[in-house]
Amino acid sequence: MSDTQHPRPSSAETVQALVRNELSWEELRALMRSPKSETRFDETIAAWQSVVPWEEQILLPLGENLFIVAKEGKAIVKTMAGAELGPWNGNWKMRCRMIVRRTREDLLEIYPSKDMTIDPDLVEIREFLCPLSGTLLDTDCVPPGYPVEVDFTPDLPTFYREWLGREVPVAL
Amino acid sequence: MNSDDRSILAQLLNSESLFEQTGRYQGLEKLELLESDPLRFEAFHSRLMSTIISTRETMKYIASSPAVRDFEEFVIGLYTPEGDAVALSTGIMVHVHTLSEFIKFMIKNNYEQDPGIRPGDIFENNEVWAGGVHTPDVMTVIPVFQDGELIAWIGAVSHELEAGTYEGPGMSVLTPDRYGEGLHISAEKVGEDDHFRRDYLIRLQMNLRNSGWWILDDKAKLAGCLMVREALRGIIDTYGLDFYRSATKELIEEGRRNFLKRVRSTMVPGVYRGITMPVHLRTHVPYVHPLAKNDFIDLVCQEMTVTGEGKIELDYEGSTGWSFHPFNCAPGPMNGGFWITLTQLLAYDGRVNDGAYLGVKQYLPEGSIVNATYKGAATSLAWWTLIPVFANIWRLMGISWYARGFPEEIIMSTPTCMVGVAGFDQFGGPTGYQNFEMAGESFGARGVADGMDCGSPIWNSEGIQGDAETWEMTGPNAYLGRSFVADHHGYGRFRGGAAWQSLWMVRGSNLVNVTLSASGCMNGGVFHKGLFGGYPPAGWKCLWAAGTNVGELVASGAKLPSSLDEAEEMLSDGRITAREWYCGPLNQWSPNLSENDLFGLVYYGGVGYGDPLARDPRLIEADLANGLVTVEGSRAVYGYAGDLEATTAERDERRAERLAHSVTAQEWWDSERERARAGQVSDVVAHMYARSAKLSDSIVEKYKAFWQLEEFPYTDTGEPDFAAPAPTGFYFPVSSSRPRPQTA
Repeated sequence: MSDTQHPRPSSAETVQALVRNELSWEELRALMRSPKSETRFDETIAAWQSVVPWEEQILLPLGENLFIVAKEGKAIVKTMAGAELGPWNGNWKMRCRMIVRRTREDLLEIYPSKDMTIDPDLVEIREFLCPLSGTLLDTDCVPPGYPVEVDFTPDLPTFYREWLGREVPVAL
Repeated sequence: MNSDDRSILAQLLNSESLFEQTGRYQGLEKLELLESDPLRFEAFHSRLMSTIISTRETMKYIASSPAVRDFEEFVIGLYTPEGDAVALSTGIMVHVHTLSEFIKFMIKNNYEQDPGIRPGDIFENNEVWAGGVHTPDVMTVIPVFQDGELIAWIGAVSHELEAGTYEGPGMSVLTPDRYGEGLHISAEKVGEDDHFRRDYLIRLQMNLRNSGWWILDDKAKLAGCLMVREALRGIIDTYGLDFYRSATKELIEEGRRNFLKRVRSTMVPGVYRGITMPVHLRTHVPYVHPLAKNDFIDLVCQEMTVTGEGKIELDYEGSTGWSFHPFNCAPGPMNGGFWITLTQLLAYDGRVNDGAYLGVKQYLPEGSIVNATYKGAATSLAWWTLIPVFANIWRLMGISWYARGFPEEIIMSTPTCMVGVAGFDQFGGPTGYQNFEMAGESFGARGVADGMDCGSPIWNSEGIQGDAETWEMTGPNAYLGRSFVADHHGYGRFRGGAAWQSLWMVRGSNLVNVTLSASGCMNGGVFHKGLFGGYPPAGWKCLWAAGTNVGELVASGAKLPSSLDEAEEMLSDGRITAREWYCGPLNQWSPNLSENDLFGLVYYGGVGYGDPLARDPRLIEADLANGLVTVEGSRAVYGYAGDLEATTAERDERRAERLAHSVTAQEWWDSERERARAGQVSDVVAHMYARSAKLSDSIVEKYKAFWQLEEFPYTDTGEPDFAAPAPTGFYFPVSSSRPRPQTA
């Protein structure tokens, strides 16, 4: 088949398909081998913007179903389903709903009994849920009592100004 | 130190000073050779690489140990006179910088004067204080001279299956200190005139159970070094010595610049946080040194900062202290762990040299588990700390790639799980080795796909299980089975690679015992969390059975177990009888086993990625067809209900159930605060917090701030104070960190 019959998708189209989990393994492997495109970030933001059910401008994907967005001049954390979880650099997990597994019975709800050897006296599993959709956003395994921390606090000013070469569109 | 202007030491100090002043390798501003004739420069680099990689292939056929011949546990590289890595072969990339530290150790300790560095000399090291990782990783290094001047070093490393440890296998699991972790070669001259010295070979013969492996691997490494030395002469004849000298410097500076560029073009600056918490329980093991007979958690806090310049800095403040076990780390092991990360995740398509090292920094708190400053600390199994730590750092880097829009770069790893065999073998002599089929471990999930089922471990991307037949030749055991374990992986939209299990029967020996352990997931612990809602796997198990009737089952043609799970079932229901047996999550040192007795373990699966309720049902169906999940498991974890419509309805219901059964984080905090104030946790966890607080106020302050408390409830470690001094009288690698008292 010639290229004219099946034109290669543009970079933006490929990223749209990547975000929608529509790339085949062969296409993913080609992407892995390609040089890392300078346009990927903007294409990713555009792709996510076309998927999310709300209007706010996405500033950074924080994780699956989780974004930093611009809202009323401020940067906040927002879930795919639309729950707003506080300032961009805050502890968004403390605005989630939680299920904490701290007994063997709690753990057996998800793990098979023959292999379940996690000792709940040593480790507890904390599930952080989107308060609107019930989607699991993060699962921590920590010793009991350990403070709840977010895994990532981006340096948004440096990222936008120094790495992307433009101003963050909100006051930080 | 003698820093005579013509000495190698003077060259090294000058190089370090130029980097400190300018931030560039050797102060290079322009890469003149690269810029003026890039094709010639690339051809030069390709010639170096092809020489080194093809030499490594030849070395395999000189070596004798399965570690080198069968699962690729070795590497060879070229270094500048100052000890900076120029080019490395494929293999265990851990050692890009550990070899560098070994060479610098010799230079900074004035080996030019004593014992002298001369043409034909051979130096060897496995000493952690001289940049090594642990006793089984043995480095062999030769200097290269031209017209009386040292122009390069060539070094090779192989992992030895037997290192003269107290227990037997190459990596000790139970020694309290370095005095039980085997034969130390502490940056020594072991040969002259391109030959190993007779006294050195006798020393190996007398201090190792299986000295043939080490000696023939040494010969393979030496032969490789001599082949590269020979080839280097040809390369210098072609390009000229001046070009060689300048081009090798430019390669490293280019490596540094490319590293920073790579970070700036694929990651996001900011602060990334994680913890790992290997659980070490020893009081149940009947034959442990009193110093090592204790139960505890080694908390390791990881804070990764990606700076505006594109540097990556790792800080471990808050981690607990070193202990009387072989899982301690020092700058050598931590550099090794960082290098497997850099070479596999960030510098994989560029030049692997010391340039990337100039773009990273680690802050290793003195006296902590990641920087044991006691001169007697053991690091024989530093990997049981390093593997979870750096696997978790791989996960943190994944968050960065996700944020920048490169999910195809995300990959997570798995714990290494291990059986060590010791005693007397089928050939009539003493033996000790670890079965390195663990080099075929599954991956954690990726950002665009499931983790590979049976892939390679974090520490060697070329690792494979090795043939079962090779392992049956290596020691007194026969495989009864290797198989995947259904439902045993980290759940997620993309699941971790599946756990697998092996079961062995003792064969050809009536006196053998096994150590069974795993990094970060044994003793009821969890390796590390998954990504974006993915889970860790359910747990780890091992098995041994002594005084069994398996010989009678073999003789009568009865059914034999083919997996650990089946052996456990048959031991439980009496089809297999045993004088004594164990199956469970605690690390083990078995009693002596004899012909037809059993041992086995589970190789834990990889962690998951994303909400399991979002997993593509087609992937679940493929797993069902391949026996990697059960029908019950697919429903319990993934909400799979047989077809798309039913599955969608089931998942909607499950998400609603989650919300109904959950509480707000604030409600949880309100109900937990009293427990946090009173310190109502198990003794082992309380001990962990107190040990962290003894070294640093980092966790104390975090804890008080989060729970809004005036006091930290964990203050007493219950451990005696004693002097634990660092070595004195020679230079050794150190890390940037705050000073700590010299007490345990």
